[in-house]
Amino acid sequence: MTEGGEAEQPAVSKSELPRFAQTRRPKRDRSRRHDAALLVPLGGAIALLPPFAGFFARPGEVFGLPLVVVYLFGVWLAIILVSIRLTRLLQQAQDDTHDTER
Amino acid sequence: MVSLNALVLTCMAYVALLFGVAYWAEKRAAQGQYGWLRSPLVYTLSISVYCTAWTYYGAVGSAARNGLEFMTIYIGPTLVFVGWWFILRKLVRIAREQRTTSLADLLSSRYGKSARIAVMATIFLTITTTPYIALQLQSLTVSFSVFQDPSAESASAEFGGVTAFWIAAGLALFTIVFGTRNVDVNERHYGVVTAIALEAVVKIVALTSVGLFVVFGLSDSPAELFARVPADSFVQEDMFGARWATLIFLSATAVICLPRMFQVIVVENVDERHLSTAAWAFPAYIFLISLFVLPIAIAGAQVLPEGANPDLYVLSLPLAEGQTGLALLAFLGGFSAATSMVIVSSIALSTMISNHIVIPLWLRMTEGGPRTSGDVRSILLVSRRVSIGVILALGYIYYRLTGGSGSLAAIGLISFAGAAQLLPSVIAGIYWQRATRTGALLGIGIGFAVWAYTLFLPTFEGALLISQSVITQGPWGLEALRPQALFNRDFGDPLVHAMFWSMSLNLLALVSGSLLSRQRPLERLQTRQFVDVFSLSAEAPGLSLQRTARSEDLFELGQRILGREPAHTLFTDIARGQGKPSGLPDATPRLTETLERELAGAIGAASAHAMVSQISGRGSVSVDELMKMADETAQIVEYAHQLEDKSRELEETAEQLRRANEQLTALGAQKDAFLSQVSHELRTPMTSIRSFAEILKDAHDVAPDKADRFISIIHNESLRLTRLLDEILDVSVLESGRISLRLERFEIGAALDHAIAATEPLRNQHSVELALSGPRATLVNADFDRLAQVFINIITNAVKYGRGADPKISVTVYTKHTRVFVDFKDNGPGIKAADHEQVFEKFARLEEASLAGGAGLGMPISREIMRNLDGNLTIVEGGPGATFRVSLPRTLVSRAAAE
Repeated sequence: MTEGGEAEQPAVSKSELPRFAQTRRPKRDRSRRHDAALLVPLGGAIALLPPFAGFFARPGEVFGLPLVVVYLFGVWLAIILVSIRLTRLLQQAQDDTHDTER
Repeated sequence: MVSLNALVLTCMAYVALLFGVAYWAEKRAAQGQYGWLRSPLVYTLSISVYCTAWTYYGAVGSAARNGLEFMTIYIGPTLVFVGWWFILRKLVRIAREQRTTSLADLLSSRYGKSARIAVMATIFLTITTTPYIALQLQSLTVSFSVFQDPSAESASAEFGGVTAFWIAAGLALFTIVFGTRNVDVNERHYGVVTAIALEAVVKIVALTSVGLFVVFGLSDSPAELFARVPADSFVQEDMFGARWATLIFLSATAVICLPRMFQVIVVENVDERHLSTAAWAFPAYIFLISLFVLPIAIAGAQVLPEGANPDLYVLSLPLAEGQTGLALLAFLGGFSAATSMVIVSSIALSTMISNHIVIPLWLRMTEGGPRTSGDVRSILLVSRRVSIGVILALGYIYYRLTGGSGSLAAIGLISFAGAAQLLPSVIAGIYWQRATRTGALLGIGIGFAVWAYTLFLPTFEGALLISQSVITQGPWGLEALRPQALFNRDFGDPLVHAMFWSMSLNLLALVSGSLLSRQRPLERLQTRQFVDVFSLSAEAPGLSLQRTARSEDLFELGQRILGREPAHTLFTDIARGQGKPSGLPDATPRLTETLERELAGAIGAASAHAMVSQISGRGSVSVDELMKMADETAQIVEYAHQLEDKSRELEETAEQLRRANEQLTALGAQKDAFLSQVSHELRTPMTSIRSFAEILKDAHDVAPDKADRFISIIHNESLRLTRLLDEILDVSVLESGRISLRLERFEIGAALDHAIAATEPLRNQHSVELALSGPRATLVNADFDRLAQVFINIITNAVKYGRGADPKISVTVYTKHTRVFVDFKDNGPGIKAADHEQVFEKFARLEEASLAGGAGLGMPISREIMRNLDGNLTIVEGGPGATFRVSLPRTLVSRAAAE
């Protein structure tokens, strides 16, 4: 984990990089955010639709509550939490680029 | 037990509160003090109009009957909202750019401002919404009856009717007062939205309170509550099947296609950024709403007697436990859910009906003379108010006709399924360039027909249009065409069956219809503004039809629809934008376009287009615009062309640079050579000057005659140096154009004579003959000395380099038009054509010929002089020998004067 984290650290500090290298990062970040914007509803749909949702339709309990109930509400809550973070990032990206992206 | 009167009083007080809040909000908005009226919070809360009485009461009922299925109605909207970036954001942006007032308006605007599609969508949405409104009225009436004394059973029906009537009347009043106060260009209703937001708070507080009471008042913990039912009661074999998926899809489409949802999400949106908050806040709201549904359903089934209506658990549970206050709160929550839905739906529908049905009809009736037919605004307002009344009356009648029947409960989903038929055309409209009006009309039409046949009409169980026998045996006894089992397949569920067939045929019709038809120019314009809305709004000027009308006419039209003040503001702003400080703006296609767009905000795109077209003509699309609209391929081709041009340009520039570089290099080399020659040349006289001067200085016994000779050598060498330096100076002066010429009029022969005389010693020395011929009396206006210098240079040059055997120079003067020419022809070796230009290069001498007293500056100086005299010096092609040609303008006028 720590190794991976260190490997990602650039050898030179950001300000020392040539200009083109500096601007690349946010751009890639932005397109990643746009892709993530699709991932949340898509992932949510897959998790909550058959056949995937059906895997949890079996007897079982979590904290005394039926497994399937916990699963559905859990996925739902997770979608909401992820999109709280994501919408903020997307809105930032949009404000940065003054709506020029599609 | 709460008495009915107390209940009615509470309702009245609550409604009065809503009126007050709405009134206060309208007033603040009118004063421009929006504050949190335009906050993301109010926006999100207003979207909760999704949760109607059907979901408020019905979710618990559904949970009691079908377990987890109720969740699908909330999961769909959640997915749409967390995916806001793709559909909702685009819809909101388009609606803002196009001043869209409703879903029907959006469709009509996209498909070429088609009135037909708007009417179709309006009618279909009215058909699907009216039963839904009836459902709300029924919920309200039933919730009232819960508080009624069960012993007064006989009066129940009568009571229900009366209650429903007064509820409908009250709602109509509220909606008319706050929904149609004004014809707003943006179709925004701050009062209504704020009241709806308040109701949203009441809804969630009420349901959560009941939920908390159930979980912690009626049991110890959630786990304990869930333990009361068999562990496997939530796990059904086929729960996550086609019906589950269909319901999620339906609820997802409903959040886009239901008139009330489009109204609050898209039309009432004041700031696109609010959407990013609602994207998670609305899912969080419905998450909270559904959190306590299961506990309430479980507790209701446990506590209440067998046969109690599960749809009313939310109310009857607190009542049965003696929690009157809580029951009252729960009642108000349900009341809020039902009223907010009815209010927003009827506003949305009345806007559609007035914009897409009443105004076009009125336009048709008054065709030819619309200018004298009064104020459009009053017609709009009256038609909206009447529409609201009619919609609620329809809902009431529908309720009275079917009231109490079980079929009504299914109406919610049936309504969703009907509205969903618009979805393919909406999505195609904002993402697919090729979708056409014909395709959309076919898709929506066929979708609705299939929906009506397979789902809507069968719910009447033979009472409407199709008989019971058709439902069970198929039309004309054709079993394969039974409404609920087309081709003998029923998919196990009528809803799934209907959705499958209606959506597939809808899509098929939309796609094939679009591919088989063509878009009209206006439709192509609109398509581009819809599909490319994000890239277009970045570049300021959009596309417009080429049509104009007199500014006065446009202003009058604007005034009649927008009102005097707003129209005046609009036109003044446009005039300012055109740079006119006062008066009406110039009549440009852009003005027409802008006005039409503003009008669309009040009366819908199709009507606005029709009205503007009446005074401006239909207009056409210019070639320019068509080019811009050309599809992506053409754009890429054009881009490639531009790139090609650019690269060709670059190549040319590079070539020029290369040539310039070569010239510079050659020039540098020449300069170096010259410098070394000049220094060499300078050094020779300098050396002799210095050595003779040293002799004179050191040796005191030099004989006087010897000394005289030395001094004359020094003098001559100095003269040579001076001449050399003079020449160099001359070149620089001539080249920079700072030479001062003493222009005078003289005969060219005079200058020639001077030159011939001056070169006589040199010619005699080399025994060169010279012959002069031609009209030597030709007058020129030039600097005599300079011209003579040129002639001397040329003759000297000819003597030095152009000597053949029996050397001879012939000088010929001749005139042609306004110019006089002098040719100097020698009989020497001639000059190679390739060297012609080099003769005039500074410091250049051909073939390393000796300097012979010059630095090779004679010819360049001569050419510069001639150019300064408006003439030229060139070498004439062809031999034998070399010919230098001097040309000069002649002075014609003065000669005529002399004659």
